[in-house]
Amino acid sequence: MEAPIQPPPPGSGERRAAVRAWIVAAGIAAALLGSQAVLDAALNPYILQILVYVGINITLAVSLNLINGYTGQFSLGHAGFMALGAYTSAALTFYLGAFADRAFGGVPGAQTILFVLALVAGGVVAAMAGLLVGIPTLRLRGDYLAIATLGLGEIIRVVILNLDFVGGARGFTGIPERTNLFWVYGVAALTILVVHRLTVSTRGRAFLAIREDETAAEAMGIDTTRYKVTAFVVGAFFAGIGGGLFAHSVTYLHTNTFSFLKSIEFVVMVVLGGMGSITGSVIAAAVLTVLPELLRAAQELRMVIYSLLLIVLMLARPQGLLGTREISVRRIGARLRGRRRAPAA
Amino acid sequence: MALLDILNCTLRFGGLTAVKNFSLALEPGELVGLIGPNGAGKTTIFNLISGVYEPSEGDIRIEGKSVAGMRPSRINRLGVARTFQNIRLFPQLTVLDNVRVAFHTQLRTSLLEAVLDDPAYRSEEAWVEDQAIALLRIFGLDEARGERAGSLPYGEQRRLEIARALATRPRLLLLDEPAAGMNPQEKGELMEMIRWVREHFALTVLVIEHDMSVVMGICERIVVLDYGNVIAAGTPAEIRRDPKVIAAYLGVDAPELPGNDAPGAGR
Repeated sequence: MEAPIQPPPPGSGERRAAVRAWIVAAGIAAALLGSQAVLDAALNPYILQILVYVGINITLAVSLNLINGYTGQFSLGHAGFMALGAYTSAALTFYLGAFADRAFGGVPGAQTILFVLALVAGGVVAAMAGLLVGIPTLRLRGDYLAIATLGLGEIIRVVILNLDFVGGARGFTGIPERTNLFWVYGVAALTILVVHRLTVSTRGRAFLAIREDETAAEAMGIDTTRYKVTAFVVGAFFAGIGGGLFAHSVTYLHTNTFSFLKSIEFVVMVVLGGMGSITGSVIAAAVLTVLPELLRAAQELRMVIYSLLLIVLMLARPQGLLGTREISVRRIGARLRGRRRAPAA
Repeated sequence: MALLDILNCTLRFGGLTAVKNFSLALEPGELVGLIGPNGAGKTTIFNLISGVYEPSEGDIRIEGKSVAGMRPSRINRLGVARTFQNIRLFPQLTVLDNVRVAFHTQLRTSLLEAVLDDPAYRSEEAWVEDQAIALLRIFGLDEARGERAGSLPYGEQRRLEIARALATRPRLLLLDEPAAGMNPQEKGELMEMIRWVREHFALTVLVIEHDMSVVMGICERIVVLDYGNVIAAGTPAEIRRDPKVIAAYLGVDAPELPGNDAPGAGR
């Protein structure tokens, strides 16, 4: 080995594999869209609503995991970003809905297109807030960052509370109902895909390196501030979209929903599932959304049991359900077929 | 031109002067040792060169370009890589990922291309992996590539840290006590490896080391530091005979050392 490090080769053809992956994704989307009608008819509204919440919480938990779990920046402001997305998208569909009908009434799906654009706008506004706030606050470490982001979430909430055109203290009513399982799980799948691909890439391993040792990461040429802000912005973007889905599902928004207790709910999902495990966040988001509903039978003891279960879980598995591991379909498949994969190549 | 030029650097923490008027020039290809008793300011000098601290006075230049006040990541881009006295790997990441991360500054594709699974990104990933495994092989760590870095034995962690530093493609390598905690045989192998690596990667090496057999064995030039001051500099043979060095290390009282007014000189 004379020169162990050589320049990278120019991009060679692996386009077919990439195209195949996109076809699979499109197929899944089509299947989801088709099954939506069936599900609407088959499930009662209560279960449907819970499934919507599960999907939204998956989006929020996975996006927060990028910040808290992978990059190791303890943020308590996720509900604030969710609120920004919720109110932004709701205001857009609420005020532009009539206009869209008038201008594009004849175009099929005009309202759906407006809804999607509003979701994206909500995500962008949340991401910009993340960028604006991330640059000064991400210089802080540990507890200080947690407190700063907690303050940020509260500031967002109080500002919205004083905006009269989104209902102010009365709450925002009359938001059109647009969210369905297709959009909820489409967004959740997209969030998972993006966070997964970010964190497995060589460049994206910088996020994990920052969590592991910020000084060493910086010494290896990683601009740690830039990557912390990137994690914050990407996380905030998906939180904003999740907020938009939430707004168009419940059709009524009040700032109390987005208090810091909501942020803590998402942090609990991330910690319980395992910091740095996407599948862990997915499972924890589902369990922690469904569990309180299952415990309704226990009436006034419901939250006591819920809290006790959390304590027991954290005592039994302090690293979270999955730690930093992932459940992978391929690995499970390999195990079922009884052959073992070579150690991570 | 000198690869590294430290010009009259002083670093103060409030009232404490950690490094006083320190100057050092490294020519390309040199292998220089930095020694001195505990607390002499050796690691502080590494932190100054790598950008962890900014000098209170003086300047640091890499190939004539001033780097004082630059972020460590930018200084790394200019070709300075280091290891740490108290090993700082990414313990939860695999051995392979530790090295992979260090290719960061050589990547051409962006995070967006990673998310889109672009073909250019894929071929770059394959390239990084090949290069990383080749580096691990040099250090005898390619078998352990799938293990968590934190679970490696101590000596292998030290080697992995050097491999990771080399992955950033440095011209100047700073090694902070590479032989700490090694047995005599491992030390021998380490010296062999440092020489080999310098040759094959065309490196300039600055090494802090307490173990005199290692320092005297590999360094062509040695700088001795005590209380933030340079007290001696020269070839290993000169340093070995220098009375000030002997005094600093053995604590000889200082009547025969005029001008040594450092506090607590008679330890």
